[in-house]
Amino acid sequence: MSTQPLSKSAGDPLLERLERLERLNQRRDGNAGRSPASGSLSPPPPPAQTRHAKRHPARIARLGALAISCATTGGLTYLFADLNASKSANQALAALPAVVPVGVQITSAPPTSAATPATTPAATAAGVPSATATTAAPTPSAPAATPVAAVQAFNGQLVNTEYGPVQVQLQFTNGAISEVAIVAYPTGDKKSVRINARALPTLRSEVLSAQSAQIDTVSGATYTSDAYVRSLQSAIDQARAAGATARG
Amino acid sequence: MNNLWWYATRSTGVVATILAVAALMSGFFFSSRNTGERRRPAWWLDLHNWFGGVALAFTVVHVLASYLDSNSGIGLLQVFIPGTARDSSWAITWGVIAMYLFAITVFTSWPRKRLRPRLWRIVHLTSVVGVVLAGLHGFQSGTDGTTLMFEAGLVATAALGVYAAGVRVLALVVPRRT
Repeated sequence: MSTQPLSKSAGDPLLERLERLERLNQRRDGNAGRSPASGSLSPPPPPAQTRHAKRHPARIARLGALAISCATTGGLTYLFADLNASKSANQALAALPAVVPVGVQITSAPPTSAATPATTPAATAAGVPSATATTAAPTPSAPAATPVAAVQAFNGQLVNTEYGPVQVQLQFTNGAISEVAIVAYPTGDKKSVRINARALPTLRSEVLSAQSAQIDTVSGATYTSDAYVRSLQSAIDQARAAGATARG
Repeated sequence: MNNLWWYATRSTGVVATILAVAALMSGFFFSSRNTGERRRPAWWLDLHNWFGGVALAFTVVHVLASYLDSNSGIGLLQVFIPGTARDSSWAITWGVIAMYLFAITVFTSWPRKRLRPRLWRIVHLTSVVGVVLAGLHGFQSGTDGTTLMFEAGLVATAALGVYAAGVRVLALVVPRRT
């Protein structure tokens, strides 16, 4: 069978070429059984891909739209997760105890509706030069607020880390660490904020339970933890020197 | 994992709304013969059909994600019956109605030849109401409804939709040049 086309087009290079092309097309379509001799030199049927493209003229645009849609969904999901994480981190940091003025704070019972709080600067503790005393000034109709405790606050050393400064404030009540506030922490980038939002509350609770600077570092926040401990130790040293505590 | 469903609910909702607006626009441009000379009308029709189908698919994922999110308060009843949600009742109602309208529009497009042209056209045009309700649903119930980014996006998509609708209405009023 294969010799038939050759004999048919013998001597004519153009015919030979056309026949070769036809055989090639038939092979591509998987129509090997069809005899080239029986068929004419009619154009081959369009390949399957062309037929598909005709059925869906916007095939590429469709695929593009689908890809963009999926990518947008993924991007938005990431964005929402990122925004939510930042919001949670800010909430956690905002929940940390507030920094108070360094020195002695005399806290009193919460004022009643008739009582008017008044703040008068006074040095109430020996050895603390920048002390302030906050008292509730009662009106004649209200009972006097009873002072509860004297809180002494000491700022630790400002420790610089690769990501930013860390400084803690220790607050002592009756010689014990009653609160740990954070004066400065790295806020240069979102990652630092998130790490500190997780680490600082943990470090605070560790200090409150240990009542010393002998605390574990928080994994993933090594720089902050180390700087925190150093600042904490310097605050404890100051407190010990001022006679606020014998611990540490 | 639960948070992931919440994020997926929000993102698929936004993408489904954008795709629905894109389907609306391509449909209006196609039916007003305002598709330009660069692409053939068949291309626009194909794209319009695709946008509609994908918008419905994303809507289904949106509904599924909100159902799987245990904090959303969306159960099977709330998914299928409008007005049964306790929180954001009206907003969820608009969403459920929009979902039905999208589904009806897409599923009646396949057996189009079996329907009377007028009936098919009326059913198909309810998708416009669906898109409006979907936007309202996102605005009222979405967590991002009050954010500047979402509001700007909503205004932009609404403007595009109104523009396409304007082109379509203008094609009805102004006779085409032959």
